[in-house]
Amino acid sequence: MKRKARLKLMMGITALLFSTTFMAATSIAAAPSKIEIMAHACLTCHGPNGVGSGKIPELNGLEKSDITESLFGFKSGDEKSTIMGRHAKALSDNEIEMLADYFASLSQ
Amino acid sequence: MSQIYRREFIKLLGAAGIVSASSGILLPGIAAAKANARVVVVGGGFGGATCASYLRQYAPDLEVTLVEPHKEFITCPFSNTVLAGMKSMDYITHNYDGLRNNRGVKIVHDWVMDIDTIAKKVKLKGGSSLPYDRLVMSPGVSFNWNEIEGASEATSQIMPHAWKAGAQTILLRKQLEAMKDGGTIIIASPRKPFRAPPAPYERASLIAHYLKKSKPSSKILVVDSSGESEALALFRKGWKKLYKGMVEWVDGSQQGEIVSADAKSLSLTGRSVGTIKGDVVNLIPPQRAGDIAKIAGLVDKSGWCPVNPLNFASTLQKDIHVIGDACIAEPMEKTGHSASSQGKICAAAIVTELNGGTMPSVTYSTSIYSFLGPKYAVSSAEVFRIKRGKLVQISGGMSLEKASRKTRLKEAKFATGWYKGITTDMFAKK
Repeated sequence: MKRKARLKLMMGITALLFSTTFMAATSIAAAPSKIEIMAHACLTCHGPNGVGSGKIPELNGLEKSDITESLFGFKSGDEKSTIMGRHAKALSDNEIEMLADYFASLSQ
Repeated sequence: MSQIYRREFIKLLGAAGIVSASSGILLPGIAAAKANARVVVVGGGFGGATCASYLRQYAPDLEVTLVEPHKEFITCPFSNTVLAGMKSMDYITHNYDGLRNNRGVKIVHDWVMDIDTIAKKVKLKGGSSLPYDRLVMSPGVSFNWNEIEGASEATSQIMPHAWKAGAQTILLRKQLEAMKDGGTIIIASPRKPFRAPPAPYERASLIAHYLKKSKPSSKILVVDSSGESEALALFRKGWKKLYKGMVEWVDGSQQGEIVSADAKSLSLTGRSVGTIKGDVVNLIPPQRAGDIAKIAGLVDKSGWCPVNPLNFASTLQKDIHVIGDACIAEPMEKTGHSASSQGKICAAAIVTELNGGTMPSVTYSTSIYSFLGPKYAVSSAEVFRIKRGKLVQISGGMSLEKASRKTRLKEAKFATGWYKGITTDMFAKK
């Protein structure tokens, strides 16, 4: 769903909030977004919510700029790594930005 | 979408779902998830446990039942460290409490006897049936004993495979402990595809680590049906450095694999190696999808389960997904990390489809760590995407051959972090 359409929908829903049925709202799930699905792949090694696992660094608590700097560095090879270079090369620049947004939002 | 944004959006969507149901207002493009949809997951390993956990994370109202016969799961990853005496069985043993208590997954410890794909029911040995809207099968592997004359489940009590961790791991460890110095250990690995392709090399390495300390005149013979590879080159370099003269590698590829076994004389016969005798024989047989997959009609003539990699839906049966070692997801290797990756993507796809959506294009990734010694490990990292309906590798490879000892040590530490991370993730531990 496009962001615009989503906004429109949310405005529409806001208008319905006065309906008594809102009181019964449950947590029926929305489908996970592309970036959530991709970020959840990182958690396999980096621990739940990116809190780190053993010597594997944490992602939670980092600023967006820390994450983008590392990932772009791994991708170009300018920043040395053991395994992350091989992972980061697979990501588009846009995906790196979005993953950084995701992990930076966890620490807010 | 940020977490906060998503949370609000879910709440609103929840309200919208109820409003639309009660007042008949249609919301094009968005169908609220079927709150009472039932998903049954068969097999509580890396694929199944991860999938059940993420299904409930993505859709807390979904009824998710995990069917797994064993109350505890013993991981194949890190079982080689148990063989080497580096870790205990406890370290590789996990339970389902986290999935039950932290995720609300219903855990049923029972055997699946049959699957009625028309009535959409899983029949259990205990007599009950579990109806499903979607079924996820993660049955692991079964062994093709009939391809090795003289070998069977029974002879694995003498020549253990230790390719399903548990009693077999303990048996092989005991045999190694009982062996006299100067003995020969044979590790015979099957042709691909099989579970965890680099693991026979890791096993040879870690057994060598144990022998070097306690039985230094012993030898390990690896009869390898996979042949030369980038991974093998890295291991052979490490063996030379760490265990000079202890590990001998024999090419069993090109139809050179083991064809017969004699448990009485502890000998194996292969086309390229002739008859060889060991003091401890670790015979890892050829493999196929776990047998329950066949009962459900999910297996093609290769012995494995064809799937659409977008959502891991079976191409042979409707509303059934197959993940992990049992599915055909080449070029992804059959490993615990691949199964975990597939479990998450399958969970996301099921929730997306129940919401009436289409799966976005995402990456499929794996990291595989292998120890050559407690302070020396290498890794393989691979990332895939779907192109024209097929999984294609877009980056990755093995650790650099020229990496320093410092890097190998770092990877050994990361290997332990990986294990803690993936087991915390799949079992929803806190």
